[in-house]
Amino acid sequence: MTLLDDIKAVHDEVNNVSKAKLSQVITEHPDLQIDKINPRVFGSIPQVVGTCPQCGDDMFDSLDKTGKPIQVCRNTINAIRLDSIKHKPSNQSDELCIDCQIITDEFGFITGANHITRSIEDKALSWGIWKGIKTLITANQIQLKQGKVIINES
Amino acid sequence: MAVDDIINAMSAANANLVYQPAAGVEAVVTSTAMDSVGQQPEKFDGTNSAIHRISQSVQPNIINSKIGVTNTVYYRNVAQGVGLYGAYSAIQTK
Repeated sequence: MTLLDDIKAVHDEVNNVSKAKLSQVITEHPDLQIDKINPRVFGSIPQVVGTCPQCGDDMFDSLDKTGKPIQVCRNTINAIRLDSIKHKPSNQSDELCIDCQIITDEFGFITGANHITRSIEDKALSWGIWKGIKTLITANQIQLKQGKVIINES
Repeated sequence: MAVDDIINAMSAANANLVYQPAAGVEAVVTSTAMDSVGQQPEKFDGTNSAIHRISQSVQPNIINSKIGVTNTVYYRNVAQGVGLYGAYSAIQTK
């Protein structure tokens, strides 16, 4: 494994977590048609409407993709939402997410992500050449410490 | 961040900052801060981008933007240069 491979693994980790979480929810909720759920949560203070008989998590009012009201647990909503913010696989992307910050609200719902990305190759931007990860590796300006990508660029 | 909550984020130095709401969530980016002259905030779909071009001659520090973002078309601050940062604030609307 090269350092570039290791950094690609950091990028792909979110996808692995997302896949595992979705798979777990599908297994735990065999009657749910996951691809038919629109993972909405209503209001600034979502109201708990019950307990999921499958996983025991809180349930909330939501919608299916036709707009019909349904009740879904937070685990299911979060699995669908996490899947929606996963990365394009590293072998199909010219940029890598080096620090994926999943945003979660105070009620435990995933609401989005801040992807901090760097190009693999150098790119010309309006202010000059944006060094790519390969160049940073060659210049010894990027390292991986405890799973975190650290750049010391000059 | 629930509906009506504020979302704030800063990039790492000289990195892209991409804010992507999850499925079922929408937000409005209300301000952006960019250190580098010439770089502009963008809408981004994971492959293509469209620039909200303000000016080519000043830093586009916008304190009164209304850039709607969804899971499929979202927001990107492009890298600003060595040692320079980008940031944004948004309000979750759905």
